[in-house]
Parts: sequence; C-alpha cells; structure tokens
Amino acid sequence: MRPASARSISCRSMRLPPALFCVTITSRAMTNRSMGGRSLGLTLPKLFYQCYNSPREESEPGAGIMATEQREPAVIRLDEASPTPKYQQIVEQVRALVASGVLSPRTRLPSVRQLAADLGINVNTVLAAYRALESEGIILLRHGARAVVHPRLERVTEPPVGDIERIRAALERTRTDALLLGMTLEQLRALAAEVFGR
Amino acid sequence: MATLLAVGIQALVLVIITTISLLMPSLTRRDLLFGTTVPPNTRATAAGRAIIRRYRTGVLLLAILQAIGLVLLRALAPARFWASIGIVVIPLVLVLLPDIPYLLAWRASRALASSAPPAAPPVPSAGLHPRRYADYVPLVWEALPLALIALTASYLAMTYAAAPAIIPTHFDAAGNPNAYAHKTVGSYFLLVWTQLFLYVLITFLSALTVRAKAQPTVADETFRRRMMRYLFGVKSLMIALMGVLALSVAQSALSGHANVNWVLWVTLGCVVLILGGAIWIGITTGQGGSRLGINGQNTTDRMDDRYWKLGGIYANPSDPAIFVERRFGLGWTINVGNPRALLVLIILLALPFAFTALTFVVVGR
Repeated sequence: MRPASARSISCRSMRLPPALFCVTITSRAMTNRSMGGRSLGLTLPKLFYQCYNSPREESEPGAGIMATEQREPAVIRLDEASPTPKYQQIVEQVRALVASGVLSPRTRLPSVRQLAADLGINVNTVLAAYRALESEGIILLRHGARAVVHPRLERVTEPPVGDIERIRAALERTRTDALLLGMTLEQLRALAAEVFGR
Repeated sequence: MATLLAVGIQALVLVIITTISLLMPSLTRRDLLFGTTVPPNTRATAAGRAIIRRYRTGVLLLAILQAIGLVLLRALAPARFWASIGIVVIPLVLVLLPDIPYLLAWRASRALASSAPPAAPPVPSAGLHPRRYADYVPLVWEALPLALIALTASYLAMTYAAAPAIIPTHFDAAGNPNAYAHKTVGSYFLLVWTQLFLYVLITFLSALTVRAKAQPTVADETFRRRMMRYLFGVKSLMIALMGVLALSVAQSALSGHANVNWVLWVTLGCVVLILGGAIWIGITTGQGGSRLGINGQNTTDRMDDRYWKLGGIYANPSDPAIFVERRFGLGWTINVGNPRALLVLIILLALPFAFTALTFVVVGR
C-alpha cells in the first residue's frame, strides 16, 4: 500500500517545474525515511512520470478537485441521520483526512462560508468545527476564517511521551470496551488490522 | 434601412432565444425535469418525453406567432416607432413568452414527480479545497483584456490633441453623427471608462460565482472551469468591441464621418460568438457537467424542491449560499432568500444604471 505522504507529495508537486520537483521529492522521501516511516513505495522516476504525464485536464489550474479526486478525494460527507452533531462530523472527518495525509500540512482549507454553502448548513456550524480543530492543533485559523492545516504537523520530531501515553490509554480503553461488548482479542486484532491497514 | 435593421436584430434575437429554449431540456441535469427533481432517466420515459415534446411544440408555436407579429409590426408600425424607446418592449416579450410553455411543463413535471416513489435524500458533501477565481482562469490571462484597454487608451491619448473641441457621441444607422459633446477627458475617453467598468463588473461577477454552491465531483469542476473561461472570453470580446467602437468614434471626430457598417458587423459577430459559445458549452458540457458522460456524477443539486419557486427561483433563508446552480438554464442564479444575496443582486443591478447615469453626466446629454 502506498503511504499517505506519497499521495500528498504527488498532488502538491503537480505544478512545480521538473528541477524543483526532483529536489522536493528527494527531500520529502528522505524526510519520510528519517521519520522511520515506510518506504514511499514509488520510485522517483515513477513519481515523476505520474505527476508530469497526467492528462492535461488534471494539470490545468483549477483542477484541484480533479487532481485529488483521482487519488484520494478530500471530501466531507454529512450523515444527516447520525446522532453525531454536524460540527463534530466535520471535525472527525478533517482529523481523519489530515491523519491519513490526504490533507497535508499548510494545505489551505475552504473558507467557512464556502464550506457552509456547499454543505447547505449554517455558517456557525462550520465555524464551530474549525474552532474545535484549531483548539486541537489540527488547523490554524488566520484572519478569522482562512484556515490551513497546521504547519507544525510536518515537523520531523518524535511525538512527546505524553502524547504516546494518551494514545496508549485510548487503545487500552478501546480494548476494554471491545471485551465488554463480547469481542475476542482475535476479532479485535482483525478489526484493528482492517482499520490501521487502510 | 433603420427599420429593416431593427427588425433584423429582433428576428435574430427571436431565433437565438427559440434555439436556446428548444435545447434547454437536454442541457440540464438528468434528474431534473423543468426545475423538478425526478428519478434519473425520467426524460427517456414516455411521460417525460411527452412533457418535453409539448414544451418544444409550445416554444415553436410561440416563435411562429412572434415572427408573424414582427412582420406585422414592420408593415403597420410607423417609422418613428422603430426609432423610439418602445422597441425595447419587443426583446422583453421575446424573452418572457417562452416562460409560458416552461410553466406548463414545470406543472406537468411536478405531477409526474409526485407519482414517483420518493428518492433517498442525497448526502450533503463538499470538497475541502478553497475555490478562487485564479484557480480557474490563470491570472496571466488577465493581461489580454488589460492590454486591450491600454491600447485603446493609448490610441485615444495620441489623437486627443488633434480632435475637435466638439466630438460626436452618437450616430444614426447611416453613420452620420446625431449627438455631440464637448471634448473632455471624460467624454473622449468614455469608451475606455466603459471598458474598465466591464472589466471590473465581469471579474467581480466571476469571482462571486466561483464561490457558488458546488459538488465535489469532476463533472461539476469541469463545468465551473469552462464557464469561468467562457466568462473571461466574453469579457475580453466585449472589451475588444469597445476598443473597435472607440477607434470608430475617434476617426469620426477627426474626419467628421463614421463608417458604421463594419462596426455593425463586428458587433453582430461578437454577439454570435458569445451566444455560440454559450450554446457550445451547453451542448458539450451541460449544466453542472451533466453531458460530460461521467458515470454516477450527474446527480441532482441536493437542494430541496420546496425552496425552488416555480422551479427556477431559489429562496432558502437557511442556506448561506449566495449563488446556486440554475435548475433550468445554464450557469447560476441567486438565492433570493439570503439577505446577502439580495444585496449582491441590488449592487449588480445598480452598477450598470449608475454607470449609464454617470456617462450621461460626463457626456452632457
């Protein structure tokens, strides 16, 4: 499976001149390995080919959604029947998209008004979601509504011990919940492999 | 000659409006029939085809009646009618009359939709990328209309000193000036101001419609990009036309006579190009990219039919969108239920009036 970072690199580098592209890809690839992550799964020539031999329509300006659509669409979908509040659904989906690398650090997000208009929901609902994401450090709000994925997320650092403990506690809580619901550890491992393997 | 020209222009308007009206049911999204949400491919059913056939017959009959009316007007109306402001009523009638078969078809479509099983409500979805005008029309392209404006201004600046103190501002059909103004920077450069006004107005409108309610689909994005580039083409063409007119006015100021024949043909050429472009986008792309043939993406616009008055007027106070896609037609319409949208509409309507009033003040007519 291709790691998420490779997808974001190939999308973000679409409009770079070839020389700059090579530098970017090389440095990103090195960064990825230095982080202890998996290999990009793509050779440099293959990535180069994919980015510079994509159909004309894709590489044209304004083809943002098309470029991402064919790899991994950065799309929010609201479940109106869900008991989860709409703002919470937005928060969870943006978090998932950032975590999976579909939305890379410094990626600009739509304005509050644009997202609210597209989803047909109140502006305040989107604003609440953006503020929640900002308080979690997922996005950075600039000048009120202009949001970007937080640049701190691309820093090459080991996660703080506190954060690792927080994740461990969450996993342990999940394990307990699963066992209380009658699942076996094997079932839970299979489920985890399915979720983490995505 | 002037009467014949006026009748010819009205006949051209009639042909264009009839053509567009006849094509329109095939250009809208597949699950919308005359502004009503219907199950996909309803158009292909016997009932759907019958509604469309009745609509097209109505449009054709009205077009024939209007053509007869024009011929009668040409024969019976006095010559002064064609030179009066009264002739603006004719295009208004030509534009509004096809609404009658549309409204009948809309009613029939509603009845058809109510008999169909209710469809599952579409899932609200949105792409997570900001939409900006520059993403659809490369900013470097803007150099073209701006260069045209600069060229026009430069030519007028070069001829300004040689032009007489009184300059012609209006011409009859034969090319003879029939209105004059004192030469000032305001009056002599009037067409440059018009170019600038058009540039600002169309760019502003494009920048607003880029932010119209959108769906995260390739079809929608392709439609939007083509429409934005089409609007850019319209803007450049109109600015070029103003440049040609400025050239003609400057020549007439210097020589005392304007050869308006070629100006007329250039104007007609621009109109044909602009309307031809719209029809071409309609046929190749369809509303919202519905004719691009991308499977599974010709879905409806997700908006509840309750908020669509007569299938064509969107009024939803709880929707923050200012512009939304038209349901029967090409392009976008305004959400009249949103106070911000009403403000935008007032500004868009007031700007041309304000500019026209300003030109009268500047030219002193």
